[in-house]
Amino acid sequence: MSRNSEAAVQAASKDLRNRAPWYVNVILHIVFSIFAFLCLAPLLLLVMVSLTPETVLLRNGYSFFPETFTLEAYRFLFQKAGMVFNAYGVTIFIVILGTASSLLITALYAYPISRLDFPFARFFSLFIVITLLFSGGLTASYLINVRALGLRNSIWALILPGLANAFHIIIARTFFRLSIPTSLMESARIDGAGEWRILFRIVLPLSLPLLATLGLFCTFSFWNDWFRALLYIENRQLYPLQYVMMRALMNLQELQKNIASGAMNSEEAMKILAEMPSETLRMAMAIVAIGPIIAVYPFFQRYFISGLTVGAVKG
Amino acid sequence: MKRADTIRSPVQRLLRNIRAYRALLLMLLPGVVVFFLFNYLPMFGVIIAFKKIDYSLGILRSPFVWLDNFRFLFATSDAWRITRNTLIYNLVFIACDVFLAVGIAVLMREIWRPAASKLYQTIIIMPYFLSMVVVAYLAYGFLNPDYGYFNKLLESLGLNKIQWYYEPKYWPFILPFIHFWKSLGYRSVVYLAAIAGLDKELYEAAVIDGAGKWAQMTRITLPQLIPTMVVMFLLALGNIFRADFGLFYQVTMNSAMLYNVTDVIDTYVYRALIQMNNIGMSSAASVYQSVVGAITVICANLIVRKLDSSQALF
Amino acid sequence: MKRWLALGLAVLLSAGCTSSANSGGSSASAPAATGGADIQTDEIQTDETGLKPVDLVYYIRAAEQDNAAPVQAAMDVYFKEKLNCTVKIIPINEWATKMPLVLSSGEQVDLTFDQANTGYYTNVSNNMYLPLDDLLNQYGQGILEQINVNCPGLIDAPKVNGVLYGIPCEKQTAQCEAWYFRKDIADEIGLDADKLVSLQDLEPFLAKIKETRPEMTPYYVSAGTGVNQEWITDAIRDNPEKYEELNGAVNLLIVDLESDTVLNHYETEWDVDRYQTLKSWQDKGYINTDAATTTTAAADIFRAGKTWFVGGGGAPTTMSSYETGYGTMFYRWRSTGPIVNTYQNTTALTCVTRTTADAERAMMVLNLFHTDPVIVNLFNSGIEGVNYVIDENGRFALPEGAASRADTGYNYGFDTFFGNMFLNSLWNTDKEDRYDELRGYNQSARQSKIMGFYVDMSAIVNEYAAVEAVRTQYAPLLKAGVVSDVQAALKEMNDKMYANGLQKIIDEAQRQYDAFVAAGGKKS
Repeated sequence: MSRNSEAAVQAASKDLRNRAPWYVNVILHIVFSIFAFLCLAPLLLLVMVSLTPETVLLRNGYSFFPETFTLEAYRFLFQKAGMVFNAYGVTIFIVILGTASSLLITALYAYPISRLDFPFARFFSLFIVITLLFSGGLTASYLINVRALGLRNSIWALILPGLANAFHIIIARTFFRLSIPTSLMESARIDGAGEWRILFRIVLPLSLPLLATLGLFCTFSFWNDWFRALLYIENRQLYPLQYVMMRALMNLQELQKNIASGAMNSEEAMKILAEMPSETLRMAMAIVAIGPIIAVYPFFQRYFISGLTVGAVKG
Repeated sequence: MKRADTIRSPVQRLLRNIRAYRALLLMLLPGVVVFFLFNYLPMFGVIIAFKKIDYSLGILRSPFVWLDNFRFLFATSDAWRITRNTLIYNLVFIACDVFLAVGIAVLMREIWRPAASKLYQTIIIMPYFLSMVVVAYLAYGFLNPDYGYFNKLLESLGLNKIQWYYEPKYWPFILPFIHFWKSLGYRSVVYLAAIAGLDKELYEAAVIDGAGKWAQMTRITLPQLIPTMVVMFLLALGNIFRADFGLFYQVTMNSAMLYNVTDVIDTYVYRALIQMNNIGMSSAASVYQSVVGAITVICANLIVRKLDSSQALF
Repeated sequence: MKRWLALGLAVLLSAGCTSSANSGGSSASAPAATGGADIQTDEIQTDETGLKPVDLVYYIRAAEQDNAAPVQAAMDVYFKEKLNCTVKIIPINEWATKMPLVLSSGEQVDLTFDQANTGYYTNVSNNMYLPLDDLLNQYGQGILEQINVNCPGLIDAPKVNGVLYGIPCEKQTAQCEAWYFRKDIADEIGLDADKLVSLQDLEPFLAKIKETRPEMTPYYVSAGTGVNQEWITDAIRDNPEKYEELNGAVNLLIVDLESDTVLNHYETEWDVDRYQTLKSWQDKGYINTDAATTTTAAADIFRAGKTWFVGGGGAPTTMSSYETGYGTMFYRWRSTGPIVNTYQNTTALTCVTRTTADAERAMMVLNLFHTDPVIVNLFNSGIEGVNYVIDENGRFALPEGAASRADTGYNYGFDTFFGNMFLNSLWNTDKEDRYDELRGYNQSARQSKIMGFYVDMSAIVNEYAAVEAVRTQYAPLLKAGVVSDVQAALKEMNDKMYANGLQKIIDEAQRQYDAFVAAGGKKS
């Protein structure tokens, strides 16, 4: 499959007849270079700040070229915050299982409501749109998840509530309606294929760009989520990465608050504060968190960037 | 609908439809279960907005105060300011999000070398990964009155420093810039996928007919993208009364000097309730935002349905 | 579908239950002996203590520790023997987000930390906590005795309309604003901290710092965590006998004790003076320009050597912990006399909630927290030989190989919020007379005349919310000295607060205050 589409890409780029004029190409390169630079420069700054010693940072402010470098913030993150490696494991488990199940549920839900002949399509569309508009709030969700579903201290608390996403389903519904020729489904039906077969053998293979996009979105949202862990998880073995890092920061803020209000003046707290590189730590956390996810991005990317050529598969 | 159907009673028709479409209904089942458990069951929480909570009675039996919890949203002399800011920023964001993201997706495809196009994609999606807290710190690195890059630049040009966080006039530009900077790359992915799903034969036929790039874009790509644009637009409308708290609170460093152009419903609610820990009032704020959003979406959806029923959300 | 509906309904009803039996998910992790299946053991143990076995849960605001399990196990054994129960410690770090959910979900919570700042009064007015007066008299005599010895008058502080809902901790009870100046710099510029009277007295020294150490911010103000700005209102600082702050509205209202009138302190002449001083300091460059927005903690700035003093509480213990913590020597200036008031003494409360499995036992446990050095030391310092060793002077010391208490994997740092602080054994870093000094400080402090009074805003929440939103808009600007005209800004702020219902708030506070005085709450 991938080799096919790569070949198709090459074929397309050789198709000189259908290329934008060279000057358009040059302008595009200029525009996108500026855009990319605007996105990259702050990220570079982020990396540099995370490598700056805290005292230098507080003295000179942010700099692309700090006087000296240190790995202190990263050392602190991996040692004091603890559990980082275990947390990577938890996060990866959540991301893989969550993304796979979420895609399956999304596809299964979106296909029926994308069918214009399905008499219940409007009802089930409304059913999910309502969830986008109204939520019962945190108190009620916590109550249901903890008391009724028993999700406290369970890894499922990090997965199940994120599985069904109305936004994704509606995007998928639109894509199915647009990109899957009804004639294909008709002919399959005439050949005696059932709905399940049509979905898995015809619709989904034609929807790789969509699945890649939604897969990417799911990966992000499972990867970035720390709030559910805050609410439901007290077992350190189950902490996901983002939560471990979030906590390092919150710990610090809590300490600062207590010391400032005179409520707690233990030497111990003062020592922790003295050691902690608070601002550079924040930047280091951002780097640790986004590093791996940027690495997986190209994997998803090839499905929607190879673009128009995917149409060739349909033939 | 065929005339023969009207002879049957509605119940019979329903049963027949259920039988005829049982495979499709079965497919819906997992989603329905998950939505029911995690979205519908907790929805009883909406009533908290109308109650004064008394734990000795429990949430359900606590006395109703009806709209009393909502009063603080309107009883303030800032009601107009927060509503205006929330609405205007969101309208700008919603409108530009759709058009700019489509623009990026369309242009991205016209770059000759796919490798270059891939590289740009990868880079411009990166800001999306940063939390608003980190973005706020980065912005502070540029806008800091003493060390910020902008002020250093102004200084080296012999100009006066600008107290960015005390000068409201710049923020109606800074905030949208940061919003678009952070999310455009990510949003364009949706449209890239939609374009990737378009039928290649359409373009081949167009080329044979001698259609240029411009004609291909306006005659094929854009019309095909409209359904996706409409859906994204409708979904965004549901949050038209909800502001991005991180953007308006953290990026502005909660600078009170800027409130005239940065105070939105979410920041106001945060300021008003931070001391009180009152779940009735905080859920009232959220219900208010939901209801206005819902009304907006329902109206917009009605209009869309009038124009083209297949593109409506529901 | 119906089954799920029924399930949902069942949940709602159980959430609505008051103090009835609990599912208590937490008991599962208690030791097997408490499982309740072994009736024989239970009976034997009931005979010994005269009590039925029960598993309690105690929520504290702290980060969880790597190595808490052995301490928990030791506590279980000890409580089993003493009271035939277990007390499971659950540390919650993100207290403000999570604890309200835990409380409102109806989970079993027997004992919980709370304070005025984290919603004690809201929780009381929502009927979350049980009234404790009867339980205290019956099972908590030890608490009353200890409080009378260490912190007289303390028990009145957390009362709401004369009813007690939280047990305060014996600790530092006096509130006092203090400043800590770096010794080397203070000597260099000739600062005599003992001679300082008002904030304005600092001015010549700020000017000198500005001149001799241009890289420093003479007066660093942060809007974020880490207060480095005065927090006692000038009206009170200058007239401690005449004015007091009103708990429940400490940022806004003060009371004139002579005429018994409630005032908005932003309307007093002292505030005008104060903010004008701060503005002139901002104009002269003594205060950091980003004072109204920066969230960098003052402590960090101090540590980076960019400012020369930090604020803090005035307790005797603070000085030494600052000196070791910051690694430098300080002069201290107490800018206010210490006062024992309601606000300071509602910072460390332990409450019994409606969802408790056994309120009486919870009070017995609390009684031990306040009277039993074994349990206090076990909870705060851990296990001997693991988390500490006892040195030749009989003091606690770090075990070999540990650079700090946190290194042993058990250090909640919750000492000042747990039971009776005076029962903790001394560490080898503590001063010999630590507790005598602290008792002396508590006793030397002026007693608030309105101990136990607080303004209940629940009848006027909407006005209070709207006024708070205005106050939090202007206060940071005034404190940073960045407004262009102080008088105009104060007028604008006050006008806006009145437009949003300030008068109603003052009237309501006045009404409650009058009732408090009429009931004989005010001491002469």
